[in-house]
Amino acid sequence: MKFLLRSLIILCFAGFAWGQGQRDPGQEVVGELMVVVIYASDSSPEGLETSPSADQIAQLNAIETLKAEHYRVLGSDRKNVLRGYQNWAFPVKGSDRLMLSFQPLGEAQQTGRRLDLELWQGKQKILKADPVIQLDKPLYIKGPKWRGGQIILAVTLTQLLP
Amino acid sequence: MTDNTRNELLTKWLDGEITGSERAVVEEAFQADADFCAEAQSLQEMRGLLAEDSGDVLPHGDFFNSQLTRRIERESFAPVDEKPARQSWLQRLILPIAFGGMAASFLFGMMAAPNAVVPAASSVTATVYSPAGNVTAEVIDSSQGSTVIVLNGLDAIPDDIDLVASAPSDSRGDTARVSAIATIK
Repeated sequence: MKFLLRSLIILCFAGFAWGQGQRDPGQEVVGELMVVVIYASDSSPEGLETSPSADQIAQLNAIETLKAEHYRVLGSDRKNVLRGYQNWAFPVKGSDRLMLSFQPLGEAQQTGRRLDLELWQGKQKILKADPVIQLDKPLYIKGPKWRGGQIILAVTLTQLLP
Repeated sequence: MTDNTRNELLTKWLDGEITGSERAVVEEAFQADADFCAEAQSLQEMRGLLAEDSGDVLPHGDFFNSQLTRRIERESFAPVDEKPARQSWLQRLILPIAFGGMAASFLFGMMAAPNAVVPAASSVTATVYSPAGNVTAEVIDSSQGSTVIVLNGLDAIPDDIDLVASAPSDSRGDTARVSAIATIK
């Protein structure tokens, strides 16, 4: 009897959750955003081991304002882009030092999607923008300085769904 | 005797205004020309009938004649007015001019469209600004098709903050949010 009662309760909760998911199209995943925090410095970075890929380094070096002798990856985060809700990426793990909120604006374009981006440094919003992020073409944000180098965020749309 | 003279004498004879010598001439003509005599008698009878119908009296005759004359003049001169004709001529031209203008605009737009500036396939940014005070945001489109947003004037992250390891959060509280200048290249 207890088993039947528990099963019934679980089924009720599952049905409720399923119904919630069905009712809210705003939670539909329409893409995936990857945010990578890169440290760029002309001096050798000590204690930082993870380097970006060769392609990433080539791309960064090709942009005059982002040129540096050394690049290191400080952290990254991948988050779903939800159709009707804001989502957050925390590329620096365990820290709210750098956070990026994003939300789609309008329908998907052929090769990208316009996003409402907000970059936060702690509790201070330091950037608001609405760029069209193209699939696999990073948007770079040259952020604050740190330890003599430069913090760069690479924001890339890695998946685009209609 | 010419026809004009004869008709003139006939009119005077009908109106009773003919003189003695003229009467003799007319009566001689009546005797010489039976048709002329019959015509004269017919006209005299008709004149008598008209006089009977009208009672030989037209009240306010001058007023009637003046009104009749004015109406005839008005109807006669009405079509001569050129103003409406000139308006219709302009109205006929308005439509072709309007269509011509539309066609010219369309052709101009078609010709201008290929030269319009189309944003590159990189991250096209419509709005960029920094709510933080003294911070400016600048958008740079690189030749590689990437877009860079450069934030100038940000406070450096303190060196003792470890961004790699799990660093403690540093809550400085809300600061005054001042709109920054957004320079878009």
